[in-house]
Amino acid sequence: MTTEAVASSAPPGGDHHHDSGHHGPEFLAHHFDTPVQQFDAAKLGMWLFLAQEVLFFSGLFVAYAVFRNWYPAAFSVGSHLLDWRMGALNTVVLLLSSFTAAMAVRSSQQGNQKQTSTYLIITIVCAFAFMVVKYFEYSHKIHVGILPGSLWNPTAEGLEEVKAAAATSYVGEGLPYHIRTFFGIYFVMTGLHGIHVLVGIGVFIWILKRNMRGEFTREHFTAVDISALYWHLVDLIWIYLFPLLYLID
Amino acid sequence: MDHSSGEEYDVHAHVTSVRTYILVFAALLALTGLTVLAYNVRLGDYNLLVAVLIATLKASLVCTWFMHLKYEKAFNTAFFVGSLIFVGVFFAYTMNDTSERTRVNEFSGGRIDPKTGGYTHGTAPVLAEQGSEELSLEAKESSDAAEPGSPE
Repeated sequence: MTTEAVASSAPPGGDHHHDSGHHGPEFLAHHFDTPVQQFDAAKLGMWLFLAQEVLFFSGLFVAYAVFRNWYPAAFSVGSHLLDWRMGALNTVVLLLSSFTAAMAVRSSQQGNQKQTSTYLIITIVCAFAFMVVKYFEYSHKIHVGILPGSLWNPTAEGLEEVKAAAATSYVGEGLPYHIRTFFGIYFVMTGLHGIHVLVGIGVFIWILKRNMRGEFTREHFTAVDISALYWHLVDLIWIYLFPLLYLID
Repeated sequence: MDHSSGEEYDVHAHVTSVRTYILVFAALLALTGLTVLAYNVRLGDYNLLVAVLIATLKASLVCTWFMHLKYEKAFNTAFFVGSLIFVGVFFAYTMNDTSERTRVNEFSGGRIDPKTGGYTHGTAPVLAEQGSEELSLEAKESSDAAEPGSPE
């Protein structure tokens, strides 16, 4: 918008300095010299953001390690209270969505607008599927009162589940107090990850709309590219969460 | 337009073949299966190590191929890998502290107070306890293992 405003006031065919508006393709912002420079700046910004995301999640992963080290029995029982098949299903769904996101970028790089849309739609559907599975897991835990910290208040049904889980874990009998701590870690980590999935759905719907408007070309697919980078990071986090939460002996 | 700098003007990204993407996806699915298989094999403490190693292998596949780190500028890669190194530092220092609490130092007889993390000097009773290893949090955990539903 600013570009156009500047362009209309600048003399046509004027000098080639930064103060003249139109100096390249439509998508080139006036503060960049070349599309390559603009693309590289966007990528650098995205990688910085991803580095921040890694550090952001690392606090929770370290908390996980500390508590698991302190309360191995509670983590074993807690993990047996989760259905690993749900976790595995979500892993497959998320890996598929990462694959289609990568394919969407590839299609966009080749200027194949229609195919890009198809892959973006599959990615969005997978993200929704992930949230549906998560919804079933969460709602059951809430229903039976298997909740974190001071909210821990299992119903009779919930208590049966906890006992059964303890029996299949190495703990056998007796219920470790800190199962509630495990669920604190579980709900915060998967909850934060779930928020990232929801944000990803929003981002991809926006990218899909822009793609259908024909905004992206072989030379200009930056937004598709960096949105997919974000999505792959969300996948990366889940790759670790799945074995760490669902698959404890 | 000034092209005299010799730098590229238009964006020419590397396009990975569909075959590569499918192979990576298949490998990720296979490794997910392997994680579940490894879970069903009793390896004791090694179960965690194996699970984390497989997850890291999967993560590197995603980074290298899906996120195009293989073709990324070294500068950008450095930021991302750098963040992972700092996660390692964060992890190592924290675990070095928290995992030593309550453990009796076999030379000084001192131990770390589990609540404060402060150092308590060794006394005769503590030294006498050394045979029974540590006043572990695990023991504490089972001692206050109440019925989860009951009020505290």
